[in-house]
Amino acid sequence: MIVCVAVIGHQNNPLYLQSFTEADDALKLHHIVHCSLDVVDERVNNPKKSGPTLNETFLGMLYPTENYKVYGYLTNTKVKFLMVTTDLDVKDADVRSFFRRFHAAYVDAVSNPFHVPGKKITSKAFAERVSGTRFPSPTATPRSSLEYCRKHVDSAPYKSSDDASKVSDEELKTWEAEFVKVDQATLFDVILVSISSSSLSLLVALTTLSAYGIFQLLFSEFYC
Amino acid sequence: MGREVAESCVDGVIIEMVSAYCKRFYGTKPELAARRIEAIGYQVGHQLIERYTMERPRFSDHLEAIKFICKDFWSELFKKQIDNLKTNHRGTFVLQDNRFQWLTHISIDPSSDNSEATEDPSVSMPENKAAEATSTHLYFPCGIIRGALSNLGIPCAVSADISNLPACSFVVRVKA
Repeated sequence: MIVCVAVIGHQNNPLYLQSFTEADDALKLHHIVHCSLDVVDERVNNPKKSGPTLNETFLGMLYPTENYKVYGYLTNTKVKFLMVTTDLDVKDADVRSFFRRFHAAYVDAVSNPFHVPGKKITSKAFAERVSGTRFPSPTATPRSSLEYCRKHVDSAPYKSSDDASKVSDEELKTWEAEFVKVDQATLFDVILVSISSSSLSLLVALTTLSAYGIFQLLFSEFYC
Repeated sequence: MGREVAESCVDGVIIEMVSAYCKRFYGTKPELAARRIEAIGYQVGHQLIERYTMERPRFSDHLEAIKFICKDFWSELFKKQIDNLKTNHRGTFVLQDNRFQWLTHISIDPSSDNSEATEDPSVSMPENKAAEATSTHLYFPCGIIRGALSNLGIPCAVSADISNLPACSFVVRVKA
């Protein structure tokens, strides 16, 4: 779980500092970010230690503390991105892709003509994008969608005999009704996955229908 | 999902910007107009270099950064590369573009032929005026180059040289 991200300018001035935990942890995370700036400088200015990856933007893991790991990234314009995470097994590729998306969000925020270079980034859109990139993109199919597919595949051979098929259809309907009674967050994740994998059109229809039901409920709550 | 803008619109906006700053906003103070246009170019270059160096590893020295400006940066902006790069290896670089895109709409003044009529110093006025007018259009690209290089950590001064149009050269002097 990513707990803190930071953008530090080329004069080690903080441009953006955002922590995703409760307030009393935030100060400790800021302190960790501050200390890791030294490690960044050491990594970049010491060619003997870094070897062939001297000019790469991704700096890798800077240092581990007892609960956290800090990853760094240094752009061509000497802006440092730091990421503090509590995950124990983080894949290199995941961190690299996170930093790539973070860099894209940063470039968009800095291209804002009202942004003064060297001052803090105050764009709400940037803050939202950063909070969004924390979660992995829905390319992997969540377990629940696989369950759904498996259930339908298993029920297909039952359609051969009439009595058995009636029972299994009803069972299936109740199972489906239960299936989509999840909380809103996972519901939208499932919708996203089903849209991305276009073969699950039945799943899309079902989830959007139940989402519509939720909206109707919300509207009725709101307007009465 | 990309948004596209016609190149001629960008050319038109830049020409109009130069004319607005030189004639309307700072009509009586051409040096201020020049500084303002250059400052706009500085901010644009600052932001553009951030975007175009996103996927690249960092540069190891000044020459690599200048070569990036000549090749990738120039082709992103003008769809062509700088035609000639000269350096004295002591911090001065000359970037020569044989057909600079933003000067293609400006005519080269052929009135230098009537200079044999009189030997008045005022005859050289039309040439000077044409040169001045052309140079006002080059403050913006000078600013872009200066903004791009200073965001890469290379403070410098950039000036334009229009001694043989339509080729124009940008002289970059790196401050030590």
